Amino acid sequence: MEIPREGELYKALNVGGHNFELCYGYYHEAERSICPPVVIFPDLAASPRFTADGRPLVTQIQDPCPHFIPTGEEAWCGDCRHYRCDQPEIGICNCPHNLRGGNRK
Amino acid sequence: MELISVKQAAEKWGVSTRRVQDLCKRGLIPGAALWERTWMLPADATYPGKPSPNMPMPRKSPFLTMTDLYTVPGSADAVAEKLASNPEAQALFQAEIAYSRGDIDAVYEKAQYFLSSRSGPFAVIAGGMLLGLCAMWQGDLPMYQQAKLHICHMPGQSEADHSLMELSLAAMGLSIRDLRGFPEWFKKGQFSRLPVDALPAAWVYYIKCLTIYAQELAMNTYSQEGMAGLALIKAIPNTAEPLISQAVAQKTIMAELYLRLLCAVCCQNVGDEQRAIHHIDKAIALALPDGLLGPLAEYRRQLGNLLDDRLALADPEALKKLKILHKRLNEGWTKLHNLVLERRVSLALSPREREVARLAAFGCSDAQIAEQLCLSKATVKSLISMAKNKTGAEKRSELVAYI
Repeated sequence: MEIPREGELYKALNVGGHNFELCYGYYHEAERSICPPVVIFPDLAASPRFTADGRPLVTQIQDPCPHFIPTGEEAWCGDCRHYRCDQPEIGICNCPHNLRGGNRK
Repeated sequence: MELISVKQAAEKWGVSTRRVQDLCKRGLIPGAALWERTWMLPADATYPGKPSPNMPMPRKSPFLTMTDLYTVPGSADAVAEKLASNPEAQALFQAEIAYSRGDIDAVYEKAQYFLSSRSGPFAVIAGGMLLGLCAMWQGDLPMYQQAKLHICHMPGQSEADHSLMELSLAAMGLSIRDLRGFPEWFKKGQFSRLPVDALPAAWVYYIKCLTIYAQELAMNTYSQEGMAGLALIKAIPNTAEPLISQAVAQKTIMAELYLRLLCAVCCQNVGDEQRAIHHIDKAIALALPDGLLGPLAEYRRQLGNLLDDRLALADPEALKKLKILHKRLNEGWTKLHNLVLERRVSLALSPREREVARLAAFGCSDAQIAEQLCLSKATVKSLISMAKNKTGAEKRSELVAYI
């Protein structure tokens, strides 16, 4: 497999009416010298996006909320029973506690 | 003019009837003609290209490029020319050089020649090995099995011939990281069973066997086995140094080339980049004069950017060719490896994803992986998610099948 370059597009997604472009990059500048670029997930905790009916979009690797119900091994939103997705990287949280206007934490 | 049948010619020349028919069809036997669907040949026809029965192989080894026949980088074609008086040796040497240049079609053609030849055990081993190498590049399991069977049925064996046969079979497995089937005498380093000319090849296979064994052990980083594997990887370059010195002294440059690539892999595995670069530079210097990119392609995945960067400095055009060769080899190798060993190694994973997947598969947490690899947790999570998404693994432990 060829090593991807920084800024190269990994995947373009449309989730819940929002467009995302997942590109390769670095989470920390210091990693530039020791690791090829990795897929950078958008920070949907800091900049939340919602579907038309108020459900939050979350990334697969996002830290879970207190209402997390594990279905797999990972302590990520992607392995929560409430996670719904067509593509694994970004999904929609179906947890009733997290609807827009509620307190997610 | 007296005529003989295909069967009589085959018995006279010591080859198969199919071989004689093939030669007749290709017009290589002057005077041969079809009589009512049967080929008839002149009684005085000679076998085209058959070596004199009294002409032995120039070296007592089927691995001719790993002997002192080939001692100067850049001299491969000249050495092949000098072997013209021994067509079989010339064909074998040319086939081995063709393999090292990545010309698999030429190797396949020569393999067919040796498979139908019955001139001795080296020809049998050569045919089988060449066919096995073709199978590896093409990911062809039936061809691989045919190659092994062919070697197994080698006739008329002395103890040295039998040991060569065992070594060749094991080496074929080694090419796809299959460590099963190595004879006990080999594991103990008892190479005195082999002809002296075959020793450089034996050294290469010995170090390769050790390296693969150590890497398999080291996969499970946080166990005692893993620690032992890492310690062994660290020790391998020191074990290989005397063998490299021997290869340098004897000027067996192909053996030196492969030993240096293996040392570079081990040095890189334990983070000794400087020493890895030293070996890579020496290997490149040996390989480039005759365009021997095949061995470099074999180790490109394990050496990654290190090899690419050094080759780009030495010869950017060669790097472009190497990438093409490596892509072809990688696809065929992965397919055959997965078929023979019933695994699911994935080509889609990047080296970092593979590394993180390995640690995750053996039970390391995100925090442990991040600490070990000096990465952030976010980077580790990104890599694990990519590895799982690409392979379809639902659990971390399932990732071990894909790495």
